[in-house]
Amino acid sequence: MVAEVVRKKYTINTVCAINMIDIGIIGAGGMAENIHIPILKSIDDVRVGFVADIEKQKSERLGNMYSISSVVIDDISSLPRSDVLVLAIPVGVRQKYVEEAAHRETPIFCDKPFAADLETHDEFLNQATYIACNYQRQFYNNIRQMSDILTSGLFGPVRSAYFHEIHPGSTGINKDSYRMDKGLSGGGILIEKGCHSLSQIDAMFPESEITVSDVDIDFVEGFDTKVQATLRIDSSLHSFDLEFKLGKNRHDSTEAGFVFDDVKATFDPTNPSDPVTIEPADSSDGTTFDIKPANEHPIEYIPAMYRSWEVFLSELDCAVRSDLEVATSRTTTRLIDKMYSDAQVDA
Amino acid sequence: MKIGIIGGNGNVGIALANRLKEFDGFSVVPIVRGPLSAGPLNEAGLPYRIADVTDQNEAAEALSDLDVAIISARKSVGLETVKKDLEYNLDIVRNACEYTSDRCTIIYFSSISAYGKELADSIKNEFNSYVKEKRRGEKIIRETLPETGYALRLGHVFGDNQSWTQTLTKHLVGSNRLIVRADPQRKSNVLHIPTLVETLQKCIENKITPGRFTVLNSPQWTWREVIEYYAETGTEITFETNDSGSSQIGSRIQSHALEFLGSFQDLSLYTPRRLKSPLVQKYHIQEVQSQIASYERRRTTTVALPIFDRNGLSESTVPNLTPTQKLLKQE
Repeated sequence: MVAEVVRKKYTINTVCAINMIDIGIIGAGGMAENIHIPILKSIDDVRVGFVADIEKQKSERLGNMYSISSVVIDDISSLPRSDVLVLAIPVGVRQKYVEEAAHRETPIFCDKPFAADLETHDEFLNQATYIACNYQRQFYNNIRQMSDILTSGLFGPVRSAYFHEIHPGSTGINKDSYRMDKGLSGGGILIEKGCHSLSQIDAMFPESEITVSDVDIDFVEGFDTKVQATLRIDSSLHSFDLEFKLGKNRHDSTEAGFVFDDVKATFDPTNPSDPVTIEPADSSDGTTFDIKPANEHPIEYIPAMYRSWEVFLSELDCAVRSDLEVATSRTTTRLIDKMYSDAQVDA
Repeated sequence: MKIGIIGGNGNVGIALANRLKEFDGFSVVPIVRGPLSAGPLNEAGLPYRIADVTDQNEAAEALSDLDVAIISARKSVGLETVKKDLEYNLDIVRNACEYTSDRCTIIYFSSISAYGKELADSIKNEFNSYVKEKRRGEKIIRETLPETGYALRLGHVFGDNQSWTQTLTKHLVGSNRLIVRADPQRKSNVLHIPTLVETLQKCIENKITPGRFTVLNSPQWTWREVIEYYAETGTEITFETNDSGSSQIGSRIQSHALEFLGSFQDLSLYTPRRLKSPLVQKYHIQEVQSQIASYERRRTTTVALPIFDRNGLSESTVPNLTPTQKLLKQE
């Protein structure tokens, strides 16, 4: 007779978690359909209580698909109660949901980006009981391993660095997408894609001061389409400039690189399975080494999302929680805010 | 009290020698077959004797002055020399009984494997050479030295430098998540060195009547207790007792998902609208669960040792043992 029940689903490390967590999802879009609901259905002690949307057809469609309660959002205060509220909605419409969740003392898990600007970011932090942002790229194996290398000072101080994220080709954005409305999306490529990159930089330098200068942004019809800036990173171990580049120029490539005295470490920060490659700083003889991914870090997109959920759920009902500024990567919002601000001034 | 440990260079022998020598009035002499075997004893600063106890002359010279002879030696049995090696091991027992003085206490290390089928259904008593060897060794002690002979059926010996401990901890160290393929409530039949030492002390000091005893932790530890003792703090441990564990579910989901995904696009093309929704749901969930299963397998260490499948025996039959937990804490 088996004494322990064989697990059919995966149990989050719920040292602090409450029993049977009931989750309500606001926004019946692609993230809810393809990511949040399937992941949550893979986790023990978690139940998707409802999915809500302002469009009846969307919420009903997901509700039917996953056999969960669907809600049409009319009066926010009449939304069903839940233990957690997921905001899978554009940044431009989050304010009232954060206020309602704060009123109910319900923890919030937001999709990225967290907020359209720093002022709103801080308002959310002040209001919410507990709130975190799903910056899942922070959990990518290459980011975690690079963070370990940087924190340990393994190769000595960083002398220079670059973080280039290039997305050539089609955006996949329809003309009626919320991303074509700055009021909903918060902006263009910088807030949409750049928030990921900056959250990864934030994750790699947790105890550092990061400032931005030399901002150069190209705008097309009010939307930022290309960004270049210099980030200054100062910590007890490192003090250097990081060249930040974001765009769609197919002649550039996506790569993050950190140059030390003798060694250079590079990887693709958008690809969770890309290993950290080590080579001589002067790249003289072509010798390279790939660091084997650590088993505990995700090397695929879905497990990174799963890990993001895992961390969030493990914080629920804890007496001591992670710093909200860290959980929501306030540094990311601050840097984006500054870049837009500097670019507008220059314009 | 001069205590000879025949086979004192083994993992168990050295562990016992180091501990027994600390007792007042005990002097310990490991007895080994050859100079190469004496290496670790030299390093440990233990005095030793070199003698092949299966040789009568050498046995007489090495064993005659002992007050206690612990038979810890055993030659590994070769595939082609089973019978010869078995007799070699029994000769050690015979000569220990023959060439020690009449007053000498003999302690023979048998094994719980001597329980045969009671320990594991897979053990065929009649054909298992190890079972036969241990039972015959016990019989030699019983028939030759009924007044001074002890046969100790030892459980799975755990402790520093013990094989089972090294095998287990190799999996446990550095793992945040463990799947242990064992029944957590099952008695483990584990024996930690301090409890064995206490048992030997009772035998040496004649505090228990000569005979056959089963020596296990006191009280028996479940596999949960063993794993939790050795796992690092904060390790998430799950016990699974059949193959329908998460890793197997992951594999099945993955293979079905791949098969399913490969044809989904075509399937979707021809599926009536009312059936599309459940299909899409299945697609999303299988795709997601497949990747999560793969990740869980990567970051989870699975431990499956053959001793996990052994039946749990009753408690140790050595009377009045100190709880093993207490002895370990004292160490």
